[in-house]
Amino acid sequence: MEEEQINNILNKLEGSSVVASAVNTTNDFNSNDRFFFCDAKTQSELNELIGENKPKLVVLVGFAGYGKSTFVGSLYQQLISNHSYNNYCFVDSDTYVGFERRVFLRRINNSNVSDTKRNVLGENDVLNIKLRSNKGEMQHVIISDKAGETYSRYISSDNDVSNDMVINNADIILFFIDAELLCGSLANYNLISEKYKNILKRFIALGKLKETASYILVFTKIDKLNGEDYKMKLTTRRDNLSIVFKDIIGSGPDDIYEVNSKKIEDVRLNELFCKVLDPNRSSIYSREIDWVKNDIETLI
Amino acid sequence: MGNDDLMCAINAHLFIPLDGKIIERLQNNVMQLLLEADINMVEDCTYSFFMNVVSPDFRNSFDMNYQKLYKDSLFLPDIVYVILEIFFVRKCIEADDISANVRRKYSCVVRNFAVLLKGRWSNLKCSDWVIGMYKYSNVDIDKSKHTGTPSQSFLNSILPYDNWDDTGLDISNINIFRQIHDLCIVATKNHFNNFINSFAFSKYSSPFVRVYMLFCKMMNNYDWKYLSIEPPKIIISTMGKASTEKKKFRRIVDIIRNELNSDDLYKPTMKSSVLLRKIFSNYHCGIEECMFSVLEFGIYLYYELLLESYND
Repeated sequence: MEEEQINNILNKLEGSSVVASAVNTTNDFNSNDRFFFCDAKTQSELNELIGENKPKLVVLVGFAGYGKSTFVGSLYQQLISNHSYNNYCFVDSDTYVGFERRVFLRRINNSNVSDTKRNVLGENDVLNIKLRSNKGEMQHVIISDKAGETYSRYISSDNDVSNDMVINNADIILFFIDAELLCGSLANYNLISEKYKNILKRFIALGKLKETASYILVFTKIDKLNGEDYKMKLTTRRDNLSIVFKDIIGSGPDDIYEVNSKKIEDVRLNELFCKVLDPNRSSIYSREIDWVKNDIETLI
Repeated sequence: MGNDDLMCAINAHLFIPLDGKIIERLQNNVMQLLLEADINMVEDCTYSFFMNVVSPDFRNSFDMNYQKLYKDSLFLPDIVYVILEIFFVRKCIEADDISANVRRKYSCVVRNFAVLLKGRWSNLKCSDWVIGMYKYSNVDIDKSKHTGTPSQSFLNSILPYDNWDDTGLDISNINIFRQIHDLCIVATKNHFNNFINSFAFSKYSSPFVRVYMLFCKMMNNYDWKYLSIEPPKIIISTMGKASTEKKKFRRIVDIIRNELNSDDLYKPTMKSSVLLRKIFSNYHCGIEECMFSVLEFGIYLYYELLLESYND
């Protein structure tokens, strides 16, 4: 369908600027690929995903091939298979196509076919999940899964980092590290370390890390590490990298996970899913809001 | 309250903040809606805010007015409308051109609907605003102002006449008015204390029923709102240790409805009389499983009855 035809239909249906913006084609790839209903959203559409409560925002950070999309694909696969986390089950998403694309990528990776189809730079990164507990409580989680090349750009561009609207809103940030690469040559380890140092310093300098956000280090592809040597190397290099994060951010990670994202039965992977989908948020409220209790305490 | 206040409140709940120009428009739009404000709108918006939903009436009025003012439509997430609802209520309460009585009523609406969040206070947005609105319920009726003729019941509390003209007193004279007013207050206080001391508490087995009947009867019989009453003190002095007894609200309602005749049940007119409405008509209010002590129950009841009396 031509863009003009789409615009004509939309103009007849509704005049709102938001709907009109759905055909805004400033992305890097073909606009016909872009316009699917239920596709992943752009960060400029984040506010549209807010209902009566602000959803939890989980941001996946990691360079190309570090396993972010595989992680998302596995999470989605578990959810649509009626797996519950924290007594919450999946009920809906506005971004099914975005998830399905990532599941496809996961399958491609599983088959050991050359990894030619990853998240393309410029492809929409915002996905959402709606869950419901067995008591009927709803939970809404948004996941940002950007292409790894985006973060490579961030290493050398303040402008790109400044324009990122998800990092500074994140409730949880998952920093992905390819464990296989990490435990390879020393050069590889140093490269990963330097890339993360660079990007973290840029985040801090531009005020992008919210004080209340928690961050987690996720070491992926641990199934590729065979033998005690590799496992020891992982422990050492993992700990060193944690110190790098701690030194720059000012506090250590909330948790560290070593996972095989392709294996949906992976225990630690599922624990990480639980963590990401944990509905409990710290809640502080002023005692004066309960005015009756306040009246009683004043009297006493 | 400037744009900054509204901007902080709204943008704290968005991923992408709205810019100052949009916030200014939203604020101006709300100010326009104030011209149509009445107790029904305040109740509607306050209820919707506490329930974390958007009132269809508010949304329609807001959108239509915005379209009229700015010849433009705006997509806003529901969360923004919820915040605008309470912003509207706050503006209503803080308006310069309303009477103290109206301000008190609006404040009572907010206090009374707050019971809907009992036990779930952390869910409340803009809690500072809500807390700031509570204080207007407690403003004493200004006894010093020479405003209008004291009520019939005040007259009857001191003199055996049906109207002020028959007394021969010149109540247009401010000094005489004040003296009579003070005399009426003293007389009312005496009547009130006699009422409390002689109230047939033993007639009712449950302390929840006793406190319900006490405040309902107070409401019907006396100009007690002119006195500086502290409901917790009255409840503790009359109920004693029983004031700490706790039950789930649905159980309290069952007890009251079983023990009293339907004629004894107070028929509320205000939507914000959550407890009174539940007791009268047993509708679903969402707080059936909340625990109330006699003291808490009595205080909530007092303020609901207070608003009902303001609305008579």
